[in-house]
Amino acid sequence: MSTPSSGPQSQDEFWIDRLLRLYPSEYRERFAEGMKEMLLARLADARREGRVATAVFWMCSVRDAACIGLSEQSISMRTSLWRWIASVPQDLRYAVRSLGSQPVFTGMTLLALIVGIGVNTGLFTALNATLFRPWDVPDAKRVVHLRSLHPRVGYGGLPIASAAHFEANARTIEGAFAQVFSQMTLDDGPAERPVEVALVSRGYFDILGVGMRAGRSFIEGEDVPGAPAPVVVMSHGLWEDRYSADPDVVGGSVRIEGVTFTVVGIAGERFLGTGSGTTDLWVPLGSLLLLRPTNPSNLARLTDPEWCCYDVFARLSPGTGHDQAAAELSTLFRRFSVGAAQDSIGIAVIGTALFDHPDERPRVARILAISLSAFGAILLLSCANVSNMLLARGTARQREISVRLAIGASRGRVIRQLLTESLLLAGVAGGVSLLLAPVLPVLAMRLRGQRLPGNLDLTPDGTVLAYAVGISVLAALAFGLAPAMRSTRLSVGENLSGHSSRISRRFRLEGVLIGGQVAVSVALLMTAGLLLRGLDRAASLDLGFRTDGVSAVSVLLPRNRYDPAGERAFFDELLQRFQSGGVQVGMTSLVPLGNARNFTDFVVPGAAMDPAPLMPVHDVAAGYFDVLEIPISVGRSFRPDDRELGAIIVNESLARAYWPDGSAVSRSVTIGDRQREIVGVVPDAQLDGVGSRGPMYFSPFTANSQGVGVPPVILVTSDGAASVVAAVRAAESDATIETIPLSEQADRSLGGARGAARIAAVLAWVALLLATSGVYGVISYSVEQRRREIGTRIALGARPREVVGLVLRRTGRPVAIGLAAGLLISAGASWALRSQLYGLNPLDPTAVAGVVTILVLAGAAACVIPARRAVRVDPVATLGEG
Amino acid sequence: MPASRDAIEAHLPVTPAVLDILIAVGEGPLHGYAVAQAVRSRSEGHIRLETGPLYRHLKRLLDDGLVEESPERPAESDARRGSHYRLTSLGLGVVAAETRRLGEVVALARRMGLAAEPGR
Repeated sequence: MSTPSSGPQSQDEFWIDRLLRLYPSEYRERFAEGMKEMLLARLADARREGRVATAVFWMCSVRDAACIGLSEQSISMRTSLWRWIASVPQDLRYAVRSLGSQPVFTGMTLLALIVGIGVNTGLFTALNATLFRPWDVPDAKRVVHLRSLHPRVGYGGLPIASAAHFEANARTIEGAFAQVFSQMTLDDGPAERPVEVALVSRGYFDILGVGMRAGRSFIEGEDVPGAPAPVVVMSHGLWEDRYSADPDVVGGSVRIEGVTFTVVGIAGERFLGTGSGTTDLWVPLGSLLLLRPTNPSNLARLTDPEWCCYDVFARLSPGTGHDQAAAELSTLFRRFSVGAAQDSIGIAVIGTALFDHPDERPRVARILAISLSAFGAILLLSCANVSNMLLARGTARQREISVRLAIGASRGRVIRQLLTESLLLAGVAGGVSLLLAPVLPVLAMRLRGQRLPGNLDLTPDGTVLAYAVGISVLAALAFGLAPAMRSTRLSVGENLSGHSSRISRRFRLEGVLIGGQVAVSVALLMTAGLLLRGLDRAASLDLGFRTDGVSAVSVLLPRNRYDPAGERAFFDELLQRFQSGGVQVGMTSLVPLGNARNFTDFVVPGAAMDPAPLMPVHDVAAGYFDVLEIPISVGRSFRPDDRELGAIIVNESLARAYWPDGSAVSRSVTIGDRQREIVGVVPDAQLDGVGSRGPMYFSPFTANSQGVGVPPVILVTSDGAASVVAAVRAAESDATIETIPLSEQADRSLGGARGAARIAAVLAWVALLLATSGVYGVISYSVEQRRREIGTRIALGARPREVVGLVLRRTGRPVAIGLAAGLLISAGASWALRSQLYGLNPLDPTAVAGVVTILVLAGAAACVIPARRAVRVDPVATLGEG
Repeated sequence: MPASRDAIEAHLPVTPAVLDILIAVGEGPLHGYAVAQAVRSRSEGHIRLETGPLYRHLKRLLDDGLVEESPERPAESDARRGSHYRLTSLGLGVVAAETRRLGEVVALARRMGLAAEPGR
């Protein structure tokens, strides 16, 4: 019975067809016809019986299709999964053979992939090691950093005494320790060498689970503040370097800062300490009193529940979560350190990896975003490159693929085979990248002119491995999927004959890939160019104060011989001596353009600011403003008695912010708990770094106002530096003196930006290389493909210029579009990076001119050889090829 | 060629629905709908096989080798396009074995006075 396609019937057929789609395809192949007929017949019966029967029919049919269809699907998936698994070795063998037969192609794709994947894996290794890895100790996830959270300031440290208190009274932690780092001198025979010393609580090594290579760590009774024990644990590195791993060192003595200590143990080989650099020696916190006997507040520093703020760490008890511990420790903290805990919200329990620190996250996130985008762009570029190469190769293999399709291989099967090749390529590239990964960050740091911090472990771990595998697979899909689908799509007839008239779509994909590569290269080149130009500009910016011809002399007094009062007296006397001698000097505790910062409250009566802002402050004395040639625009500079009077000087930004009418002088503000009077206003100066701006004020200099161990800095014109140094030496022969010209300091402060610009430049060159070779490959290949056409045209009298135009025209458009897109992207990038450009015009003519020149040269390089080859095509030979 | 005893026994016992299908198919090459109709008319309308379950059974029977697709069509068939199915020798053997087994069960029940009167 033929079924006429009358309205209701064909609608029924439509829905029945839909239902049958729930069955797997093999099932449908066998039974769809019979099932459809039966369903239609049953439906006809049901219709005759009435509406209810029809509804029941549809419901049962849907239910059957869903249940039986899906269960059959899963059965067929299980079998096809087996079949797929069985076919993998065969696919791999085929892929290896196929790639092996084309060594040049395989080599070039591997190169492009290794560049793209390798660069990204190297970046991730560096990021993983610096940001995500916790300390390298057993069960590191349970070791946490305890911080006190304050509403305005953010995260701060805790009193040293709270470590012992928490350990004794908290159930959520197994142990807690505090640590303080300091540079000290180790008696090294005739000379003294500087070493990094960590003062730690007794339980430090036990809590961290760090074993000793020899000897022991600290025992009970060795960290009692009132009865300090002169014991020290030496690092394995120092033991090997300085003492040649001599076992007799354990039990022997060394002199630290002139004090005799007994070496009780050597730390395990791989343990580099828990500071930002490598630790050489560990002593109990109690021995601070032995090392700094002249500082009377040291005992209080160790025992006072209110004396803040230091780094305290703990190991969580098994099965305890961060929140639990935070709750318990906050309660303990509030009861123990009543004063210090007053404006604290509570204890925050944070991991030890850099990324775990909430203060660091915004800055880190920004770095991550920028670096991952730039490096990711390179990967995309290499994928586009390889994709183009695969497209070209696809046409070469068209015959092979078409034959396979014609004799019955399903399209999916052939695509799977082609993807296996891509995965193999990406896999090999990924493997090589893993080998290179630990090396690249070291090279990159050399580019920045720095060395890697010593305790960075760059060996690939599980995370890095997972990342490498992940991006290799993604890359394989990115570059392999489109060419695979393209080669299997063209109809069989066209492929077998070797020619295709429907080439336009393939060219469009190719064009997109070329355009993309050009866009990325242009964007990276422009960005690098702008960053470099920005640096140039930064180097010659007017910072608001004098940098050339000024030197900063930092003076560090031997710390076990001067207490705070003595230090103050020393510098006051020194200043007086300079002034009476007519030498123009300034003094400050913060080197201009240095990394250190200082902030205080700043409350202006009547000004409504909630919360009251933190104001940057520089302690300055005597001729600071004169040496730096900062004029006093209103009022006066500091006088010797200003320290007691509490006078301050503000900069113009601050004055404008609070007193726009210009009446800042003689106003009164509250800083801390003191009333201060403004006696002068100075123009803005970028003392906190090139490009820094904003309100700031100056306070009369007091030596040691910043706490222990921050050397005051004497500013003097460079020709006077020598006499200053001599005078300091005369007053204290054991002072550690360091002289830096401010111009070098300015240079250093740009170091980070310079490193970033250099890396951007390297990336840009890599991108350009990939893109140029990509364009070269495409044009070159198209010349090959169109030999006959070119030969014919030449035979018909086409001139060289026309031939070249013919060859280049097709690539010309995508390149032009890519250029435009690249410029747009770089406009966006330069807006995002505007803080790094130091006021440079985003369309800086020099940068644009440079980039254009490079692009023109690269473009020429890419086109020249293929174009010449095209022109030299011998028409007779190609016509003869038939 | 007749199927081996072991091969037949591997498929016993057979569920009632499957037995019905096998018997219906045994009549001669039938397509799916005809099988369902045959089963229905034989059981006087009591046993209605729906499309989904019927074809699922058919697939199993095909995969197990009890039933095969038949290229020939019975003359009076109304030229349906779906495949026609018939019993294989294995299928024949299974039907024979199963009916024999059922017969033995019925005989035993009768001997023990438990059997219901036939015809109900």
